[in-house]
Amino acid sequence: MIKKLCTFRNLHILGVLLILGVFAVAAIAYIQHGTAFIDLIVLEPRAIGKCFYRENFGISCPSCGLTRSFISIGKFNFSDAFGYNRIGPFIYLLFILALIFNVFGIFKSRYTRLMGKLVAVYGVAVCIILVISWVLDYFFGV
Amino acid sequence: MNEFNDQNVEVYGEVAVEPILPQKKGFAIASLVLGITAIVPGCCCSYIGIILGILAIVFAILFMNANKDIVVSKGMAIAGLILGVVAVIICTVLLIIGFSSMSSGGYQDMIDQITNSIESAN
Repeated sequence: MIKKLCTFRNLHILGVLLILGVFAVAAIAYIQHGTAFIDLIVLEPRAIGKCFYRENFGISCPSCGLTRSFISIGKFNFSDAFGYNRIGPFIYLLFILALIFNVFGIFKSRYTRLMGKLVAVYGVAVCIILVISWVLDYFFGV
Repeated sequence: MNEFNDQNVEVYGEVAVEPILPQKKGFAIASLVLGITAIVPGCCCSYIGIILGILAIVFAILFMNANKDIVVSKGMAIAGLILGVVAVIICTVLLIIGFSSMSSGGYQDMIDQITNSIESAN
């Protein structure tokens, strides 16, 4: 049963749904408050969109400001997007590339493998740059 | 000398060259995906980042163990392993900094500052 469900096509469909979910979170946040905070009935109010470390300890993590950055990109306000998180727009691009890769995978395009390699290399590069940027920002104030 | 050469030709002639495929390649892909996920949204979510990072490390080790006798590209598994380790280190460092600031009274100072700023704004 599980083997039948775990086909490449189904995994690509799951990937598309997850990525659309990320964009949906940003869209709902913007519609509800115009900020990165979300009220969900099933969860504690404003549970999603707030950073655990900033909420509890007052310190910024590497991903702080990503939701606000995504919302700013949605409003085509790129200067604010870079301001909230310097790597935010690049991560937004990563999500778009991953979305294209998964759509290619669903339709079994011949470019799926190439796109997968691109997403993997770009994803690793973005993660490394994100961590370096956070270290420079948090520990050296650059 | 001729016999030796003939033997070699026979041996190599019989062996069919087949491409060596990596075993359990899904583990390498899972490791890379979990490594990226552990850093980008995972670092925000405290223990989730640590869990995803550990899973990335485990999948990378499983892939490497399954292919330790074969010469195959292990780039994805190594990338997943490194990202997993980095995610675990970042989350642990953040938790240590956070809890140390809480215990040294920095947290209460921060709460007081936020409360004062809200009161002054109102």
